[in-house]
Amino acid sequence: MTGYEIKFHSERCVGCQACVAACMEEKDTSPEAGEQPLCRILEQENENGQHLLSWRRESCRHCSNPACVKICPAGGFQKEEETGFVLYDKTSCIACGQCMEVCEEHAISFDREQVIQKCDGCREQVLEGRVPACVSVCPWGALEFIRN
Amino acid sequence: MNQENRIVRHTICDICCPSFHCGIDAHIENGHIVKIEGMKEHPASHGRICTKGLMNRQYIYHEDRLKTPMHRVGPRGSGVFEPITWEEAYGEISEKLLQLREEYGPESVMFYSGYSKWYRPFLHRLANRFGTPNFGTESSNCMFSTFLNWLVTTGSEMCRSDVANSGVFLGWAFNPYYSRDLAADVVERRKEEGMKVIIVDPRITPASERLADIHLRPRAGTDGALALGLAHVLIREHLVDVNYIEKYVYGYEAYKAYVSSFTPEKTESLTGVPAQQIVAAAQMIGTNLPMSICESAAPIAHHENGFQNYRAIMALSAITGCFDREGGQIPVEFSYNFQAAGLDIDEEAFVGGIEKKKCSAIGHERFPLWGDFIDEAQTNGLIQQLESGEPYPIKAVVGFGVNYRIGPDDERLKQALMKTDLLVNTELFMTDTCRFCDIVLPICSSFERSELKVWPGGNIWYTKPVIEPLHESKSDVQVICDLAKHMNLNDPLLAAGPEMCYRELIHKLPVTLEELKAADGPVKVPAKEYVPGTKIRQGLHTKSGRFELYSLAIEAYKNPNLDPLPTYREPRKEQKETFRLCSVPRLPGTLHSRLSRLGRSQALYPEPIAELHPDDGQKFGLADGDIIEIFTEQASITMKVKYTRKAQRGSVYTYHDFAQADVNSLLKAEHTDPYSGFPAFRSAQVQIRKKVMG
Repeated sequence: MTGYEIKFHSERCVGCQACVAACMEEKDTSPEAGEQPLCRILEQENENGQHLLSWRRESCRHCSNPACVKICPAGGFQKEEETGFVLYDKTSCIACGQCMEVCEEHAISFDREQVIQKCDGCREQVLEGRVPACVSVCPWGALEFIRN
Repeated sequence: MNQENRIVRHTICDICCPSFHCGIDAHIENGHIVKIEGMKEHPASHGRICTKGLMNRQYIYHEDRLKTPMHRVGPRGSGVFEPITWEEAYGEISEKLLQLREEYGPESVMFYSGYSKWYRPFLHRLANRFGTPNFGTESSNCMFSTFLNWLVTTGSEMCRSDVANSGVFLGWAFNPYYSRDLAADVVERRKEEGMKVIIVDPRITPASERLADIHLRPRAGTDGALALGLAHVLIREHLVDVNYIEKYVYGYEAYKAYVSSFTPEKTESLTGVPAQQIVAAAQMIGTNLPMSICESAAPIAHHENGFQNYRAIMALSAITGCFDREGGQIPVEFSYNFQAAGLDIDEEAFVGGIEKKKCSAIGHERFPLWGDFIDEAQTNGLIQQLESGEPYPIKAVVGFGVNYRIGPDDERLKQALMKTDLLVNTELFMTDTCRFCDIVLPICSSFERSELKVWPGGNIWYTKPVIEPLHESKSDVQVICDLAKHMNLNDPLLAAGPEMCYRELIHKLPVTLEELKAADGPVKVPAKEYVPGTKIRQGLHTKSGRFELYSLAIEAYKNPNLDPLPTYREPRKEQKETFRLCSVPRLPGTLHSRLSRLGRSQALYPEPIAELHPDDGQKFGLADGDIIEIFTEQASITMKVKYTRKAQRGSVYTYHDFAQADVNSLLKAEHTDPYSGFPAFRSAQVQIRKKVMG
């Protein structure tokens, strides 16, 4: 597989949500305007196993067979071959909401203009040779950027 | 975004603790910050930026930033203000303060600093020049109880934990994953190299799960008993350093006699920690020396017996021969503003004192130990003094970032403050405190000002603003210097302005302010390195010259409420169906009320929650997600229940930030530690009931 991957190492995560804050900073997310962050960290408590606490990260996985690409009636999503990121075209969005329903990661939401927003892998930065904001900021090494 | 137009300039984040102030890369386009990242070259933070630091841009550019000085036009508390000029503000404040000084004496005026600390030497100097002993700060509630412990027992202000050389780390109230994250690195590294780690925390945390070889979970407020129980086993099993004790410790026999009753079984009944765990932990300490212990500013201090609990914990360092030894607790000397950098900055001379101090400061009579050791008011005596006018009335409070909700019974403080003649506050926003002030002054953030800052290893930085101060805001030290000038306090240095003051502060260093200004980051200056063992060999600044397990200073009071030994007093007896309220454990993405108005902070922490163990929830018929009232005879607040098995049974945990669920309103002002004056935030007793809707 070509392209890039943002890998989450859950055993390193402590739930600090710096990645969420970094994403909001990078993408200028405005909760005041009704926008949600593009990723989430959810705390879980485990019944069995060594540790009580673990954290799950919900974010776009830039799937190899993206459900959003298939369902969008306006054809607004596209998996870019070079990077492997699933990108989207805001201008074609008709706000039908179907992509949000099929995304298992709940990675798609409405922005302040009521069209869809989602993670684009910090594509511009990546093409400049840098890493996505979430990976760059994680203080605990729970996010890794892999260039295939 | 036009990348060609963009420059990167360096500054520091001032959201959390002064021992951090992590370096920031501010990306500037056309005089505007468009992005922030961590500053890789920074000698302390190395590029790290945390959840809170990432919110700086929203904080700085928030639409609620105060634009001009404001003057109250409606009745106090109405929140109706009109803009005035700085000259008008200074004129009125000066005139009023001088008038009050004339009529009631300088002590009638209090200069009060909220959490930000960077300007405190300047404010303290201003208070001294004005002639009032009433310089008070947020340290009446955080950090200074820890300093008081070290001053009383060793004559030094503070210690650092020399984890890099430890064989065992006693992480008492240690959770760097949520607060003070830079502290995690050395512990993680040493652990990988074989260091043993004991975590003491009533809750389950990432630190207890990731780091602990042994996790001790004492009931809230019983830490002192646990420490004495550990000492008991160390002594019993001959794991103490008798040579060190003989040479450097005072009061060991009395201490040993006291500790003899804290058998593992007795300690288990007092703390809830199983006896065999206490034994195992003591053995782990005794066989893996040297031991360092986490120094903490708040969680252990925030109990009625907090000061004594801290003494009991640090006594373990003395009896194992780890105080002022490599791998143990090493005394530090502050260079400037509570940071130890090994630099000769004469802050004490700059701050000065009052020539003829005729009145004791607020809180000093109430808390005599504090009064004798700390050169600040104890603000937890403010309510009583405002209400009674005894020993003398307080007529004006000039606040710098003051938040009236800082302490217990905050509504009572607000009512008492509203009766004064003059209330002034500097702030970035029109907070609830500002709303009932007479004059509000707009202040800028760390990104918009110059300040002097030092870090360990001789690192010193005179920062430059990365953007112009927004609107008409000024830096706090500029305001302090301006006030000194307007009041004609006969202080030519303050009147000359901040730069002259900073030049004076650093005049003994082999570097000039110009050289510091020319650098866009910390400059490394040759620093004095402290050799462990120096102070104990020279003799400590205590009456005995030694580490005092038995405090001669406390003995001198002959006060039955103040014990020379680090005795344990049980938290108030638990009644049926009450919980221990723990307010507040830290969250990684917020601090106090600082970020609460930011949408991004609200996205992470949308509503006030009360955490309960599911067993407790079920016992009281409360389901996860229920709306409850937490109440005392004094007040009631509404929150949502969240079940979590992190919680210790019998405790309920709440968090900072939510004015609509003001936890401090539940607590009595008199619910304080008699030694330090600190509020018992973490062990008040409360009741819970499901909220009846409709």
